[in-house]
Amino acid sequence: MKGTIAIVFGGLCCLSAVAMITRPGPAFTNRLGLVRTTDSNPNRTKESEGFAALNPTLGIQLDYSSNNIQKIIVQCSSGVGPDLYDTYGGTQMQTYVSSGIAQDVTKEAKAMGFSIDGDTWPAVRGELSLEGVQYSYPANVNADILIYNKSLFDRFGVPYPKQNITWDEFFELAKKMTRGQGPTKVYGMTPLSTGLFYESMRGEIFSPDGTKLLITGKQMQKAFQMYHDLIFKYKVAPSSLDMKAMAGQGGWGSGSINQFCDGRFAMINVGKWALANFRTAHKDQLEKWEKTGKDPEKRNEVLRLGSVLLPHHAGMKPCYTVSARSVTINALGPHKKEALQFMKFLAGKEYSTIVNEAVDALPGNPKYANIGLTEGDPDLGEMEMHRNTIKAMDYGYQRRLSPFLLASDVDRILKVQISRMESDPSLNIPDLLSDAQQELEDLMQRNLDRDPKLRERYKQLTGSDRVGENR
Amino acid sequence: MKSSRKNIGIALLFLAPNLLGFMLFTLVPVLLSLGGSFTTWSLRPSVPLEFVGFGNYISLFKDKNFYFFLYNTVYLMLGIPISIAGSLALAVVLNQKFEFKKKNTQVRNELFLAMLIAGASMTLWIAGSRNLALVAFTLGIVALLGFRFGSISYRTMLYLPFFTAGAGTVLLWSQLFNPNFGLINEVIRGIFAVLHINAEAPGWLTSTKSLLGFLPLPSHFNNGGFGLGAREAIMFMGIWGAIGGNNMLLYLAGLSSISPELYEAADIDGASNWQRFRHITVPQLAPTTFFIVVVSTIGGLQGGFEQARLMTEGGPAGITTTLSYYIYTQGFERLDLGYGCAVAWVLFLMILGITLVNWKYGKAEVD
Repeated sequence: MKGTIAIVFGGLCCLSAVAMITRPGPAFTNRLGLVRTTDSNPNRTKESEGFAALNPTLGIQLDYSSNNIQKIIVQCSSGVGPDLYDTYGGTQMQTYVSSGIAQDVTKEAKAMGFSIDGDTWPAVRGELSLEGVQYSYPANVNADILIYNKSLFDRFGVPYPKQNITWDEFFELAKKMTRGQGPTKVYGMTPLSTGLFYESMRGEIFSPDGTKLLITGKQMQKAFQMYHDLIFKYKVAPSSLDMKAMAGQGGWGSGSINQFCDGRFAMINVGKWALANFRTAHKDQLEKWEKTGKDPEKRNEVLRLGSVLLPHHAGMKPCYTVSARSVTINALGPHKKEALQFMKFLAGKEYSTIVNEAVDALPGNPKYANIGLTEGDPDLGEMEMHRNTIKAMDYGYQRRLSPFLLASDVDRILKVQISRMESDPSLNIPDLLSDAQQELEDLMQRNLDRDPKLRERYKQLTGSDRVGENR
Repeated sequence: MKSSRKNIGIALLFLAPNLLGFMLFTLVPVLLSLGGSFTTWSLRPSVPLEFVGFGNYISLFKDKNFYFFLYNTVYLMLGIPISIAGSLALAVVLNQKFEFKKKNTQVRNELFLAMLIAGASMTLWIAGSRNLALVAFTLGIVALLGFRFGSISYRTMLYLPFFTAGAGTVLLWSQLFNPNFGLINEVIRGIFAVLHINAEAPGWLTSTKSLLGFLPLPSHFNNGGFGLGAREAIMFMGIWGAIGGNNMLLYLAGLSSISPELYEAADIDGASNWQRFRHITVPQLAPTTFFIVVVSTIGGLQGGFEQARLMTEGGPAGITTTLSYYIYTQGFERLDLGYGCAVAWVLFLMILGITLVNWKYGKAEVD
């Protein structure tokens, strides 16, 4: 027995020694390494190399495994967070600011040339700032456009969508492109969201002062009705539940982009960042065509793309929300000053060139929107996509946020109601929205009950500290 | 006396690492969460940490979602009796000694079986039924292992789910449950085709149908009626995980401790197999069953987090959100740790209450 214990103990000591010896050392020996949590896109390494080339004393250490909002908040709050973290949109930024881990960079941004006033796209200001305070700078900026599969349109003999298409025209077109049944069905369109319909009416969730919720308003009812019609009446796009069922099918993967490339959808609303996937799918299809005898008649079946702006409501200007994947500095981190250099880098020529070369949407600085671009494969209409994305940025806007309720709460609760509608077509939409409004008002009330400053502010604006009394 | 004190000291010394770990990583956080549940504890620095008494608990009892998620949690526990019965049945079967070995023909038979498996699987694969080919191959390998190593191989295989990584099995099951391309529906559709049944295969994780035919949701929600939906899918997965796990091992241990004389006496009296099982096995295993019921109930009330987080995000329509997932969303998505702690402590009190009831009435029954 003693011998066994001694052997086990000795073994553990040996393993500990091996662990100590093989422990990864510091990423840099003669530079200060800034930790950045981001996605695992291979382009991030290029970005880090570009930054290091311009900053001899600094380096970027990438952390892919912690790129999750809950992880970032917990790590930063407990003092072991990254120096820089990627922030996906204004909703996340509001949560980070509420958690006290987003650094105010307003003054420095003006001094160093990455301010929201003049150094980025006006449409994304709301993604980077809150109540006039700048917290982030974009790593890239995106506006969704309508991309269509020309090969599929030609096969079905349907004319391509035109620029400035209205929603009604779009539904008619999508109906013509929806064919077949069951697992091989071709849908006219990839899943759309109530949000897209709402935003194309320039819908807002909150009143201008943020004290009232506008969930039960006519615009939201119309958006829900349009989504309902899309999946149950016209049946031209799958619901999110249908998409889950469709996942796992072969082709180039399981997501809607890959299924679009595979010919399961005729149109898709997506940003030009998806070009990386389109290029891979196109190359694969072309190789397959070449291997199977290069039949000229079948050349047209290889993926060919076109693009236009997203549909809009008749009689209204086009309108979409635009998004930014931005970088924020950890307010509780030890290298805030050094991290500013990375934000400055994001607004520069070198970084913008990397973004454009990798077709990773648009760079944050519009001055460099066209730098380093290539024509790309004519089949994919890359320049047309680029031009449409820039045009879409002109129509972009940001939904208003409220200091009294996190936008992530709104998204989560609306998502449950949408899921209920998808599961039960007979559900009454006003009832559903009324439930959501009630639940959100309860949460807003709970926030007021907990935060005296917030309560005071709410009272000053409405004359009461009870939510719903000013409805 | 002196020696006894010295022994206690040595024992404590040996226990110290474990005790320290327990206190630091379990006891202290548990007590902190109790304290936190009476405060406004939040990850938002603008919210001051203040004592609110039973404020969180009062809000919780007014929270409609809490009752719905409690209902979901209890519904998912309906699988527990089935998994316990299954564990007992498996243990009884595996307690028999399977010996297929025959010295002269062993190798020849094994080779024949292996060729049969390979042939059947390849035929199905070539015919295009790749999923069925995999099923045939897996079942064949199971048969072959049983042929080679007897009941011990089945015991090992049935225990596999217990030490397989939870996240991995959850992801695997979500593929199996895919309504269009999943293996389960492929088999169901195959059976329907053979039996000429004109019915749709279940929607599993994408469906709100339920075995009870309704859902206690507001807004006159129609769940689609009676059927197999997301909660049943999770329930089946739970049964699969629990049936051959620790419960089966406990029953096997219990079975080995039943005196053979009891069975011999029953044989002399001319008892049938069923009578032996009903009047000897079941009563003799009552303490084991009681223990399993208590532990499974506790596990059931705490369950559903992995499935909700990785498979369903609590949907569709919130029907797979359990209390443990609700604690997570309140604490780490709403940043409201105080409220999350209150949910956790209400859950604890429910578990404690049910366990005490079990203990009081169940134990008396067992004794």
